[in-house]
Amino acid sequence: MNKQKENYLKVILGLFSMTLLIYIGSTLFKKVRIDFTEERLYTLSNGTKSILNKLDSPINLKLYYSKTAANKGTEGLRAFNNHFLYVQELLRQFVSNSRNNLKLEVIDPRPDTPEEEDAVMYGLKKFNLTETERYFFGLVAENESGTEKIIEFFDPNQKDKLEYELTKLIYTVLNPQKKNIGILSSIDVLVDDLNPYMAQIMRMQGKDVNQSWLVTQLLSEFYNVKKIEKDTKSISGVDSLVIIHPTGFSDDTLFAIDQYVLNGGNVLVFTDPNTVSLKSSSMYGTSSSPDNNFKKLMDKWGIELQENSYAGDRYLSGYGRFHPNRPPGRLLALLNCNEVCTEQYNDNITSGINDAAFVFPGVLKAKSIEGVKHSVIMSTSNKGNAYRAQGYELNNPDILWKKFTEGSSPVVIAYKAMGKFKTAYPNGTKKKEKKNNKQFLKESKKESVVIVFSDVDFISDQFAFKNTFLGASVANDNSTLFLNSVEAISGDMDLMSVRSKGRVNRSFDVINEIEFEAEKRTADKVKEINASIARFQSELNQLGSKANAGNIALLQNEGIKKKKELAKNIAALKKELRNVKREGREKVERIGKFFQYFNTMFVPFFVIVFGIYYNYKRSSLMQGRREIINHKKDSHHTENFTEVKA
Amino acid sequence: MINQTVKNLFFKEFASYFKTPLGYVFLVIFLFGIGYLTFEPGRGSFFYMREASMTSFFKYIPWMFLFLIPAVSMRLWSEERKSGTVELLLTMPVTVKQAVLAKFFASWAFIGLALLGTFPMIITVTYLGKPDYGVIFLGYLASFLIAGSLLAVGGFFSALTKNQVISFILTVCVSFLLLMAGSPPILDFISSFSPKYVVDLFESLSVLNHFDSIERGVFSLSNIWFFSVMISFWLFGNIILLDENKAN
Amino acid sequence: MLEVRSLSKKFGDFQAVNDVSFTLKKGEVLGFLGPNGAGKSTTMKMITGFLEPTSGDATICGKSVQVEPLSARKDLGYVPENAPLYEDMYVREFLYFIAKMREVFNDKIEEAINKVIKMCSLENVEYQKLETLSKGYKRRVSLAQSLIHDPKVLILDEPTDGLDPNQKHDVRELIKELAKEKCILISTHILEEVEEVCDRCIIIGEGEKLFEGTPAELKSKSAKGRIQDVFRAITKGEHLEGVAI
Repeated sequence: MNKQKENYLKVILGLFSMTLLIYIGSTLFKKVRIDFTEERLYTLSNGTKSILNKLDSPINLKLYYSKTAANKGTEGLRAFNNHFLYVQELLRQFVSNSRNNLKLEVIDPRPDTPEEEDAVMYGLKKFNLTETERYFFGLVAENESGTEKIIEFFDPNQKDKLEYELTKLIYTVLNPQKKNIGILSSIDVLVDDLNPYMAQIMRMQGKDVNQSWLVTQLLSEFYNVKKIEKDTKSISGVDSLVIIHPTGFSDDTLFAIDQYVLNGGNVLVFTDPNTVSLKSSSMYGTSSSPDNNFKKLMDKWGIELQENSYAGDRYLSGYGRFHPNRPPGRLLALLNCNEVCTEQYNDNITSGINDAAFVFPGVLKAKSIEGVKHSVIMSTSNKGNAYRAQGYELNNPDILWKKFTEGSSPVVIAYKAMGKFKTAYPNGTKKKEKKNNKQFLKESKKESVVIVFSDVDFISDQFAFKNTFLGASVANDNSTLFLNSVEAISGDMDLMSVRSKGRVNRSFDVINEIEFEAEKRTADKVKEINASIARFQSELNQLGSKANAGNIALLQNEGIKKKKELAKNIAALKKELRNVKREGREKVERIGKFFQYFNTMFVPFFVIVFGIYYNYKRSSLMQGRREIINHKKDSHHTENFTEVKA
Repeated sequence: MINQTVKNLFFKEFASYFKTPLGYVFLVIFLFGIGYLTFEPGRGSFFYMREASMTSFFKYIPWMFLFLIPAVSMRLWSEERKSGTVELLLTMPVTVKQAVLAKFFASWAFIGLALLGTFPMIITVTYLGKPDYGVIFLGYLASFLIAGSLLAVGGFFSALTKNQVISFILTVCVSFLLLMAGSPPILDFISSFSPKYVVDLFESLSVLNHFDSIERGVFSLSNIWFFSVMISFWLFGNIILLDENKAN
Repeated sequence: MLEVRSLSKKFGDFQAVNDVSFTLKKGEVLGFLGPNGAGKSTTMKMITGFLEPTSGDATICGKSVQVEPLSARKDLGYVPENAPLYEDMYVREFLYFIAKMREVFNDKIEEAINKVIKMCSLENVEYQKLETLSKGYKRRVSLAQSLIHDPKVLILDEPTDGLDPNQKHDVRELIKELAKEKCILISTHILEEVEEVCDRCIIIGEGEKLFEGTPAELKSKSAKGRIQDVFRAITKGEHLEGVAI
């Protein structure tokens, strides 16, 4: 009895100690971990670490997550739990790398509690789940001096940028003062903020409202953005300069830019042989930059944009409609850059960028200049090539495809030039020659960086953002690429190197290829159908032109015959089209089915075969031996039978 | 150095899975079932997601195990005790502890083999895209560890009763509780009558939370701690119970 | 070779075995007599180390089953009650497994298996599955497994239970044969068996040792020479005519 009691006591004690040990262990050993993910999702980048290293005063982090509410909610809300775990995990990494300067507090704000009031007060995004339950998922960072910054809501779709978001939050708490960025553009990318109410009224009145580009609005979240007029005499008071679509700048301005660079200022330039997002251009006209004057400047930087020449890539071509009334298809003009465009250059600007969409990107060439180092930031793939087109050709995707041939080396669409430059105005400007002669520089004193992109459209609202019912939201990596570039020239290299964790493309490449192939064949068939319709049309016209009173009946007959023929033709072609489409789909389905059978039947089949074989073998082995014994017994040799090995 | 008799017992137990239909039935149901669930038509389906990762495969593993592992573990000791062979086994030069460990590891190895049998999934993702092999490796590790925990639980209940059916049902119930310990309804229920630290304590027992955390791609010491404490305790209980119940 | 010192076992409040002691020398066969539930099996299980005694100890070849159970068991062969076996194994396979577990050297295993197969006349069934065997064969296989490592002490729990007279005879002959080299403890409730194979016998009832002596002594207690009368008198405490205890 005693023994038995003792044993049961042991088991119960064991249960308690297990619970306790696990509880202690789960809190104690959390820090020691290995990150197995390819993207190093749970490992902080050096940029973050170096920013965390700069911390010298405590920052309190309050992570608000309505766990209880989420658990009561729908399946969809529960998916946020996963993201919460990731956020929490990453924040723990921040804390353990902060030399005890960061403190993390996880708060589950319940309805009608001070915590909930705080969350509302801090300005976190609030979602009403039910009458009483509200849902929060945000972060507050506060330092001792009362600077307080928030992330109002963690979007699971922005998972790969989470580390950057968090680091930026800490960075902004550390450096509340913003850097000054000058923007110089021939386009109204930055206009004085109109009262949104007024803008609404003006729009309702049918007036065109000029608004700042969203990228510049985005920029002003992190910087003091300062507009620099097209005819300025000198550029000062800005930490770095962004030039968008450089055309029509005055000589003074150009000279000022030149001098700005020579003084060690960094410049980011967006040029474009065809800026489609500018409405002002006429039907077939193109708005291109740089103009000849600005080219002189670029010449000294060693970067040239080729005229009427575009970078194209069959394998990166985007899918879309060229005109609203045309069927969608692959567009050569749309260059969707993924990691293929960036990975070989390893530039910080493009780390984590794998979905950047360019429209009619130009072709950049670099020429070597003493003391200047050129490096590629982005390009097409090896199979990309440059193609020339102008005027109406640009509006016809088919013509563009015809002009394009596959190349063998990448075409560059973004260059970086770093080093000491020479002036484009060895004699100063003509007007101010006499006055300014002594003051201007002919050569750089300090090193500076010039970054040139061959597209402007990609940072326009149209191509970088999409409209959702919640307002404009980021459509792709374009805006990030822009911000990265600005940051690169404004020198926050730490924050800059943190960027998104990157999304390694894990889609089914094989399936994509099949679908791409099928699409191409579908497009060909459609073209064929359209061509035969056009041919018929012209034949009909010819018949019509020959018509006169005498043969009209005959011709009508002929016309009807032709029409029937055409209808038959088209029906046949349409059938083929359907077949092509079906073939593509079936091929994909077949692969799916194959893998389904492969994963459900293959191994079980072998298991069964092995089982039958093994057990049959075993029993027949034994059976065989039994027979030997019986045989021996029958022939009365039982006593001296020879042993059979087991 | 592992005792020779323990090794012998281990191999005998391991081989016994292939000498009875049970082992094959388990393998076939497991492999077919997990394949079917992964490819099952629906929004969460592997082929529908078009992502070269094995998440939609691993997410079913705990649930497959919930019913299949008790089927393996129920016979660990119940059968021996019912047929009386436990008397034969435990009068040989082997201690209760050794016997429990040998049987546990043999069944664990068998489940490991079953997991290896899912290799077509790796071939599938490799063919279709670029999977993250580190994460896949961790997924398998997590599956193996969860199998170990459930087997240890099953061994415990198998030592508790001679009746395999009761052992099966008890194992399923406790395994379910352990899997769901961190889940909202259970936590909600507990929080309705106990203070927060009890809820936290209970939540830390959740096998599924640890499984998920490993499966996401990060392996922490607390995970390995959790599973080793879990397995050790249930094995310890198994030894004590068997010692207590072997003669009944 | 086998020494049992005041073994006692309590299950809860129930005293299953109370202070049973005896010794057994090489070449001796000791019959363990008693009605069902007298504590025969419990005592045997304690000697084999399968059950832990509440108090007392047993030593096998000088090794205590309490202190060094593993080495004590090496010199012990045990046929449990009802001869449980791993039914899904083949006879030879089963014996091979037991030989491995009993740490018979690899190169001796074949020899050992062949020897016990011959001893227990299992030649006809050596390649059959255990579950297909008759009760008699199962007993013999169980006996064979207990002999495979040539133990010095054999403990047989009702080895002839459920066998037909011929089989009983065979088993008894085998036991007599084995007795020359080993010491054997055999439990039974068949009284003739005691007379036939045992050198000595012990009668226990309700956990206590009631009698120890040779079968002849036991027989002599009854005027009619009826051993079952003596047995009944001892275990039931009844007074029977012509029986003097």
